[in-house]
Amino acid sequence: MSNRIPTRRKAISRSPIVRSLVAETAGGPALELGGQGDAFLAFLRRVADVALQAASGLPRKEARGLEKASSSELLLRLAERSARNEDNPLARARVRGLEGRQRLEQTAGGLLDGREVARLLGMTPAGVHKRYQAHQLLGIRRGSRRIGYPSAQFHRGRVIPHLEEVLKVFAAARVDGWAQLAFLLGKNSRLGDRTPLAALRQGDRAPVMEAARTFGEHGAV
Amino acid sequence: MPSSPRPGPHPGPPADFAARPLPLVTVGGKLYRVHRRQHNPLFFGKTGDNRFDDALQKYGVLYASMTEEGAFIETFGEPLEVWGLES
Repeated sequence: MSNRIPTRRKAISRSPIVRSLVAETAGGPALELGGQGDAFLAFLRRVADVALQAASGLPRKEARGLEKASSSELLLRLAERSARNEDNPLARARVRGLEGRQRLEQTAGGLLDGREVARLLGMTPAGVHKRYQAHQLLGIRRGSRRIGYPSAQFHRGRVIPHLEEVLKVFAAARVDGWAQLAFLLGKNSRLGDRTPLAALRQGDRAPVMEAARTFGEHGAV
Repeated sequence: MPSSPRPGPHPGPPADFAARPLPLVTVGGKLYRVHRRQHNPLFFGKTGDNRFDDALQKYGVLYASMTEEGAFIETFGEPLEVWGLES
């Protein structure tokens, strides 16, 4: 059996590895689902088909590079190719949005979970969650229960001063977490091209509050 | 990093500024505005936070664009850079 990665769609679906993988998966969780087994198998086939279509024609070098990618990175790349194949501008824009989130997450120094924040601030995870609910911490919902806390909002084991006031402005305006993070980490012309987080660290509360009030509003600087 | 020279504070308006007639321009066609969900499309803000707002906060100003793209960029232009979506 060749170790080379097949990149043509037919070659992929005929490959013994893929066949055995599909057979294995079909015999596994599908059977446990009882009556829903057929639907699950159909769903799996659809997933495999969509992934194969997207992976078809992927340059060999790139396929190699994706071997080490995380699952989400791999799916994102396939989603981008899929949107391009479908010539679907809205889907492509959504994929760009997801890529933007990844970039934003990196710029934020990563997202911490509740336990990590609790250790950092010297409080209980329940206390961290309470502070998040009271808009005293910026948290980003990931899935239905998980919340990620951008690392950049902390400085020397404390929350950056006056951040809480900014978060309250956003909570009242119902600005979503990712947009709040983009505001806090983005260069802002109202702040001499500093980021709001940098300005807050330097104690410039008033101009940051003004910038927060106008965020997402049609206006002029 | 060398800092670029700043032009300094903007000079004040001319002495007869208050007596000068305000140039009014009539525009036709559609106007576009991006607004938060809790606001009405027709919204005259008085916060004083924007460039053409009344500093005394007596009259309101509606900001709008002649194109959809203009409205978008005037509202979301700055945050796009941090998403890596500016180009």
